[in-house]
Amino acid sequence: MNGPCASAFSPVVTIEIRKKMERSAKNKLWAMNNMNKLRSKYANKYVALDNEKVLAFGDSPDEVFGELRKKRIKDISIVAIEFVPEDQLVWLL
Amino acid sequence: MNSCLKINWSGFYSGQFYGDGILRKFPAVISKDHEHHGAFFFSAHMILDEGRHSGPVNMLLDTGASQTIIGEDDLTKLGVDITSLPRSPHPIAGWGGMTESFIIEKPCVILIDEEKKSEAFALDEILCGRNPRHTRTKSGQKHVRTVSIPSVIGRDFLRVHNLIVHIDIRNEDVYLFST
Repeated sequence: MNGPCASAFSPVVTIEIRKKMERSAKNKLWAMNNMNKLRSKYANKYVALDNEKVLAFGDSPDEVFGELRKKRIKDISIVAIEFVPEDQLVWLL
Repeated sequence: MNSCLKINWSGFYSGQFYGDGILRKFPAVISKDHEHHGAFFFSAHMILDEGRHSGPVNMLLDTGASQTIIGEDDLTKLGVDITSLPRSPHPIAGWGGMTESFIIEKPCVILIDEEKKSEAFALDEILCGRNPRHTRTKSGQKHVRTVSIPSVIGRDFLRVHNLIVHIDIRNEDVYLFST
């Protein structure tokens, strides 16, 4: 296999990649499992989460990214950006 | 229904149905919360722009989606400005309305199988959906609400890579199978 997909098979890269994937998935899962907790403080806001902590929040993803940049968060790729609905929503997707 | 024969579906996808090729199982991450009723996603690593941008992306499986999409938020997290991408002539349409889309050529999606081995899935292109902004008036004031577009694995991904979808929500058993 040529191109960018080929580098995926380097074991060193894979370990690094896997750690980031796990952290990112863990952050998203935590947001899903703790939506009620988040709702009590951040209803109708977008939040940035890592390691069970809210790093930033705002009215839009752009605002949240701006806050993360201000706080000089090194790696935003693993951060979960989630909307916290005021009411429990029925998701179609 | 409880008296019905229980089928081991993992066994169903065995050699006798799909030849002697080794089936690799890519498990989904499943939520246990009540609100999402067993929502699940696939933890992926996406490589864009010939490796210049890469990172983890959590992708929903959407069998109603004709094409694989990366959301604007995920794109931003990978360090790509959506306005730097060529605009697609085809907007993305869904229940929430329509939004403009941008083309990402030759992306690579990496998934990890249940034996913790990675597999890279190349695509000719995916689209990036721009987050739509809805304006609404509340108490005489205009409010702009941004709606985040999620990243989704669409039917193109399943078709191009011959993937089989197994979903057993009750038993928290959700996989993509590749042959």
